[in-house]
Amino acid sequence: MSWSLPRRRVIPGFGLTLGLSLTYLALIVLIPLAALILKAAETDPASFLATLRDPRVIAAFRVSFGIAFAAALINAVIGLLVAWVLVRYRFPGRRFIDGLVDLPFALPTAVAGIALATLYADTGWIGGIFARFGIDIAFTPLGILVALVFIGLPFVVRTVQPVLADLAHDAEEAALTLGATRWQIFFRVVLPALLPGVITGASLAFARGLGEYGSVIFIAGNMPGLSEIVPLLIVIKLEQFDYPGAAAIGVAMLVASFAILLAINLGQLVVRRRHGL
Amino acid sequence: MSVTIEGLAKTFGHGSVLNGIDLAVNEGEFMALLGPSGSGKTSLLRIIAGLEAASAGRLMIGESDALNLPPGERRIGFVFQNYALFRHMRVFDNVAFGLQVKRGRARPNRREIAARVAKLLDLVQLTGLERRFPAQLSGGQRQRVALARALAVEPNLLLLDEPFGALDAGVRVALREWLRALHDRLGLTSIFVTHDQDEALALADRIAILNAGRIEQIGTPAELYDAPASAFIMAFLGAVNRLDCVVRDGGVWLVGEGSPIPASSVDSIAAPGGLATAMVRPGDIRICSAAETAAARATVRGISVVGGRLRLRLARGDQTIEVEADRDAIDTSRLFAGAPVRLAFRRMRVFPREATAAAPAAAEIADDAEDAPIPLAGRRKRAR
Amino acid sequence: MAFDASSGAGRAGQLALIAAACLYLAVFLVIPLVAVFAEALSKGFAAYREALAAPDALASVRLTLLVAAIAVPLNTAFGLAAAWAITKFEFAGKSLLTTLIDLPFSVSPVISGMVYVLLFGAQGLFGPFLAAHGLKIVFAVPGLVLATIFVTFPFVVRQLIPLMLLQGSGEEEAALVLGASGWRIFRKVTLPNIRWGLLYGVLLCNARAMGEFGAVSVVSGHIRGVTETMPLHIEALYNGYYVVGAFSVASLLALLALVTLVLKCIFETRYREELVPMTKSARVG
Repeated sequence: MSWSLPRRRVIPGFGLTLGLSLTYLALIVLIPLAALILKAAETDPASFLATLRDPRVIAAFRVSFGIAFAAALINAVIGLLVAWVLVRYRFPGRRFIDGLVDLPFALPTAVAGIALATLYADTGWIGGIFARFGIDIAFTPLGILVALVFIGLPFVVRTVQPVLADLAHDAEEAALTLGATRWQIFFRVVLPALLPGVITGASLAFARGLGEYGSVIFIAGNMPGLSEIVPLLIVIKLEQFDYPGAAAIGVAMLVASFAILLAINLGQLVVRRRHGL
Repeated sequence: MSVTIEGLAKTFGHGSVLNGIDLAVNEGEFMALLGPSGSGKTSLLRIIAGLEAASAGRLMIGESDALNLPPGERRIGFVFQNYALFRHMRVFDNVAFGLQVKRGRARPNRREIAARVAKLLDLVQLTGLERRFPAQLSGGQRQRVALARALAVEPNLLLLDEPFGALDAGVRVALREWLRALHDRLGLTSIFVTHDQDEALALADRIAILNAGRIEQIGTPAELYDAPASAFIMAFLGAVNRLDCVVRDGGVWLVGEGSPIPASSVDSIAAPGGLATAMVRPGDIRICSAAETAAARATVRGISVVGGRLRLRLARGDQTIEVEADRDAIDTSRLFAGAPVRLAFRRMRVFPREATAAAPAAAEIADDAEDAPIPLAGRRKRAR
Repeated sequence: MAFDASSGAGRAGQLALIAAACLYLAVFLVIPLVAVFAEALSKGFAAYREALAAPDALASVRLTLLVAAIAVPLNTAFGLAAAWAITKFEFAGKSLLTTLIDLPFSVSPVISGMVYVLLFGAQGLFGPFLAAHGLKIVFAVPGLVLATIFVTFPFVVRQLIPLMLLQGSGEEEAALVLGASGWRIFRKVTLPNIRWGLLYGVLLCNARAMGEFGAVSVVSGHIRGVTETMPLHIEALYNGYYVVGAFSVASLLALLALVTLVLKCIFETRYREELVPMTKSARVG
């Protein structure tokens, strides 16, 4: 008689661990998510669309998506710079700075929120400097941008660092022997190799920026149509017990960000496959 | 273009990678830099390319002093061991790269570039693969793209760093012959680095053997094989047997034998006197009949047949002797484990005792050391 | 420097880039952190201590600790179970499971909290049922715990999965052949191998659990002294213009964040082979 059991039964614990995990997931994730979808579905399509067509809602989407995008772009450029400096150069305090980059990950959003709001207010250390030139940062869309740049900072850096560290520099040496200048080498050889990592990091920062609440809520002006973000709108609707409305916005936001991220990931996949990465 | 190197050295804090290198490569020559890892051969090549700096010495490429020129201005082509192709560019763009980065009037227009690339791909027999990405090519194809790319800028000197190291054995041999044919056709001065003596012996017009940062000998493959200047070279280029001996009155006495080795058996004596080591190749040892005077006696330990050749393992005291011969050259009927045999030698070379120590393994400074800052996350092989 | 001579900047350019990066980080990271402590101490150390001793502040600290004390062990148990199931076995739907585990990271914290309101709130799916039985989940501590669990459950499992995949099942199989039972294998073979990754995941999970704001805010009802965790209390104080109070409580969380970072550095330096470096898995608050 031949002994051929499927692998799972060799190591013990399959049933127990899978069962536990699925139960936990069902209770914590699936059922609540089902509630979201059900609640959104409770409304008839007409009022669902009406909610989404509300100018205030549209403005909030514009604010959230637009500023998150801008913050992601800024973080893409600066994140690349920081990753470059951390990987390729040696200087005193480099280790310390490398650890510091994770601060936005570790710091609770409410703490970051009030700190940024106080800093960039017209009476704050940084806001005061700009106020002298007539530029307000806190309580304007600019403030939202500052907050989203803060929390998105580590994403690009942490995604690019390993790519940069593993970059085989013989390609750069080859370009050097072929007569390219430093700038040519950077833009033609190094940057294209780093771009997938930068885009991945930037899209992670974008996704985070879309849903961010705590860091933004204090520094944003929260003025409908101008500096009101989608998460705040959801909270307001919930406080007004407009559950279907809140659910509708929530679903719309999930679908929109999911679609964007899916597009980015697919694009990355195609590029990666071609370059054999 | 000829290459002249005088007194080149590269030091590294407490150690030195290269020490007093003098080398002259003739125009159109195919020169190999051969040596074990850690010998400095790759550093030497990279210094010629400008990818590393020298601490002292002179480097002339043609008539120009090259040490002061950046790599891009030395008119050299460099082929890397792991190809170093631009992964995100197609084959066409890889090959065209050197032409596309030229600035101003030196840069050819698109049609010219396309024509040159087509010609080069034809030269390396990769026509039709212009639109592929490196990931879609085989190892041998990638290496040929790397070569085409290096040749695109019409260099005066071609440098190759273990170009076939990353390839399978079969591909390596085929590519080796193809490269030699290409060289003969183009007449381009080429210097290539390898640790594989078969490759060097098969390909090069002349070979420079490096060991621990110094050139031990430069010569044609025949010269190096027949007249090695040192025990290291003799051992490096092929299998050798080492026998303890004493040099006295101009003759060589094997330890344990009463009479000296016949002078006709010995090609050279490089030892001044006293204790020395005699080296002789397995193929230069003969089993002699009872009638002849034997130079040494030994006992058979093992016999193996490898294809058409016979390999004998003999013991002499605590030393092992390997003999190699054609199967029909030796009467094996009287050979069995423990049988006594009498040996005669030819082309034996005697070297001083200390000189026969094995070539040092990778020196503390690795062959591929660079004078570069170490990146933060560390290359895997060092940090982990 | 041959390495950097090939691309990037010359020496002066390097210094400029380093300075630029440092300046950016100083402005965006260091100054806000310093501001927290500066504002907390702006009226002197006595005021700082007073703020921390206020009963509502202490209640918020106790509540935060309570919620974390429930959520973190539960998530750790789940993390271990899920990591074991995913890394030791092949089964249909494994990638779906892994995607579901990543879910809280792609969802806004507000939505994470909202789903529980939709479920257990007055007009939620189970609202009438709960009201009929006098049970309160939202606007009460259970809701806080649930929301916190939702937002932090991936941390432990995401640290464990790559680590356990890297280590493989060889040792467990060897123990099996030698006759050990499942629990024995887990305790004696697996657990010692993954302890640093586990600790690290628990550390991140805890930091996030204590600092979570958005999800908890939606579910809590902001009932002072009852359902206000530290982040919520900070918000309440700040909105009430009790700046010193707000920043004083905030400074505690900031200290927690610093301790987390320091421990992370220690873990990474000393146990590099066992840990998978921190990537997008760590989001707190």
